[in-house]
Amino acid sequence: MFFRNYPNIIVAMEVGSSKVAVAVSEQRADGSLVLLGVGEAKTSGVRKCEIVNFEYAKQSISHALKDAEEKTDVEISEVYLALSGAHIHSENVELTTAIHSEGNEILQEHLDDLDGMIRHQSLEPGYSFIHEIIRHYRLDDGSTVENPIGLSSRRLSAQYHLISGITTRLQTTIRCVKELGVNVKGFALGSLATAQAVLTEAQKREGAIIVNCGAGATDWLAYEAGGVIETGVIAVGGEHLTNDLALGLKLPPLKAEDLKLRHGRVDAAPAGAAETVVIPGDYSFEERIVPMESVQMILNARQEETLRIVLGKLSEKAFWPHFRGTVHFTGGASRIPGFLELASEIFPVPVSLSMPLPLEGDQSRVSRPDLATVMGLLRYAQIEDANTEPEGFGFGSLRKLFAAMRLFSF
Amino acid sequence: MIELVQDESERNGGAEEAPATVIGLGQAGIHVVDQLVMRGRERFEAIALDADSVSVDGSIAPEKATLGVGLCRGLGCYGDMALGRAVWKSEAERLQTRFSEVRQAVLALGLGGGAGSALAVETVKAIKRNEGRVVVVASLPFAFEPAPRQAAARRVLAELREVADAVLVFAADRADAWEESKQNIRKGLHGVNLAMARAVEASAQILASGGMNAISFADLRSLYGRFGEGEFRENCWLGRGEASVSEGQGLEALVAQVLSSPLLDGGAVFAEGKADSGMACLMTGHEFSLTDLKVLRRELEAALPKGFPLAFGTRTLDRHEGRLSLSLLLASTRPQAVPEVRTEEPMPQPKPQPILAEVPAPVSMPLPTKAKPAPAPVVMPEPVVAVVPAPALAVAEERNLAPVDNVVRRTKSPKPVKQEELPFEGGSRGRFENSSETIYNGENLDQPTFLRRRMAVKE
Repeated sequence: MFFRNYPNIIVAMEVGSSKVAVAVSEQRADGSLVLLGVGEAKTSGVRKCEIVNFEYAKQSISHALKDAEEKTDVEISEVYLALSGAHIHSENVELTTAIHSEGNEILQEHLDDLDGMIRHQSLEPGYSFIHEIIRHYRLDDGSTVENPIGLSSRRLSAQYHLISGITTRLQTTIRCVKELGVNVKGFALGSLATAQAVLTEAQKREGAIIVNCGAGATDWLAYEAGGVIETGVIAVGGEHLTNDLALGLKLPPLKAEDLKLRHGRVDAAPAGAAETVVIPGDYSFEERIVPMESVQMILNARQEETLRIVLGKLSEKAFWPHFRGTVHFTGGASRIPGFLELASEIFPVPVSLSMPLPLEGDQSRVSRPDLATVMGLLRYAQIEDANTEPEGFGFGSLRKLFAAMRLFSF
Repeated sequence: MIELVQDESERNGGAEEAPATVIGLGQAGIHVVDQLVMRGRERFEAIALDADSVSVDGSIAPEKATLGVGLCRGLGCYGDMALGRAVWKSEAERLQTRFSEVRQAVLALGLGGGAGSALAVETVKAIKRNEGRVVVVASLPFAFEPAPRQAAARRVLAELREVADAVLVFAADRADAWEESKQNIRKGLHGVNLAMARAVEASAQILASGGMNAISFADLRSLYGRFGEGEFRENCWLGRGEASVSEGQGLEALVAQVLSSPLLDGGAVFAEGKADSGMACLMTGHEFSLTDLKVLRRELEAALPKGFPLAFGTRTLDRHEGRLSLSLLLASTRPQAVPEVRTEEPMPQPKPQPILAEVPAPVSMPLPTKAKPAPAPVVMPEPVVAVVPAPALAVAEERNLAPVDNVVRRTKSPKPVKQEELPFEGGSRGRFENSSETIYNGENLDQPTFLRRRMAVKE
């Protein structure tokens, strides 16, 4: 197969519990991102966003890569990878350094000092850092700034949001991709990637929470004053809804999934709706009629519990009492009828169902919330590439300048 | 010794190929069946029957029915055997039609109640009429339950032993064996229900098509089908272990897990007059070799008393790949040397007697090998339950006493039993069985929410 030559290709991959998605985009000279296409494949060997069968997961990734290459005519040699899983842990840390330069001017080296210090933070044994996200800097007069370079202060503090995960589990996912001959150029937390797809800068500054309801897990990320203040994950997702239906109504998993997608709802059915649902039979399954009330009850119980757990975890955090923003729900599992009504009953703040922000190029994928993570990862990768100190001149020098100024942030 | 008995029904080709049907009768039986359905691993029919509609509605058995609504209004039989029999009569036609298709059944019930006990005997008869095989797994009432209930349980047990092919009897008082029962007896009861569910499962596996290699229905019957009319005691003890081959859990650990079951009472079960035979049922995937089997068998036999008769059966299934499940069923096949008790009259008030050497210790007691007085002349003690401590005991021993006059006497709490591991498994996690659990606030979120909230699902 002959591939077209795109000089600035960015490829993002998400290995989820229900599907592997590979989004291919091109970064144009003006800095805009154009979506060329998305390859997908059903996942095997992944449960709750963690690989439980390496070979099956590798096959799924291989199929998704092939699908992406066929759809976009691009040979994929490196990707940005979204990471998730219940083992992901986060905390907020503040570090301070003294400024001894002339005039107490804050220089890049002081920021590098802080970055160096944060990397020496002790982690639990077996854990590795995924992100050290700077929320803001604080000067000795107590004021917070986004970029302190050039300002004067005797001390400089930085507030970080640290995200870490179990090293072996992270390595397993990365290795699964690398063994297919594809390099993992970078990685990002799934919820951080999702936030880039769904939230605008204005929403991040005002304060917002993004909750991604996936098949294997529900993860969330909160912004306060433009900085990430909280991330979390609970390994309960759309698959649990299906599993509950299968066990409650004694259905095979595929029939339960079909029932959920076609007739599932988490609130009471509207007036005039059918009281029963026919589950079609096949050679191994006799046709059955199940009461809609039971379907709704099972799904409502599970979804309500999940949302209350998310709310409970957010409520434990110091930022929550002051939070006045909106909770944005996205992900495939949030599209079940009645979800928004249920969420608005449970959350004491405004809630909304959100879609990925538009990208140029193939628009057919933009309206799919289950692709929010991989679309957001493209944006993340673009920012990451811009923040990374490149080599060479020309456009590279411009990027170097931007990197030094930390103009782009998450 | 275990003897192989020629089973006439084995010549009937049709009976062997039918799947086993598990029937839960009454509230206790339904709890047992629900445990099995929640685990959802083995393919068999599950039916829940009771006169109490709350019990039936809360069940997750795929097939269930409230019986005798016209008589009891769905409120149950309140322990009234006569009402239970009337319920059977009113539903006889429907039930006999249903049971006409059943060729191999395992019944689960609690003795001494109303619906379960009354339905059990008739159910067994209905299935046997169609040349089916029936194994009964039953629990004895608690020691503190009133005398009429004990008498009813004794009668039903005697009848079941006449009509059923095998009867496995557990003692409800074994609930004390679980550490958690000290805070909440229901947790201990749950342990007993789980043990009964596993005994039902093992029996259903033996009965089912394909069965177990080297163990047949005849073995089951020879272990648990021997008792005469007068025997009113537990005859079944169960130990269970599970190991994951992928996690490198050894066979030694598996055997240790099995033997640490609270029901085995730290080895006290092998004392004189208790378990004298057993069978081990191993479920595994295809990766388990004959060599591994030999090693496992050797480990298990080494842990049992020397010369202990043990039958070993295996079954390999695809869905057990990477897992080993071992159930050890122990049986008491020799009758106890005690005279019969008449069941028509209320129990006479027994005189205080010295300790009998044959008296089975309560589950919380130290091993009976500890110092005891010499055996006294055998006089019928308060016999109605498996746990029958005599009123006058050695001073040094402290135990929970079965009341001789139905008055509960509080004694000092029993000495704690060292427990290695609690083989206590929650409900099925369905598709998440092979993934790490998601625990939040002590709850396993992989188990369905509606089950944990005990919400009834209409099907």
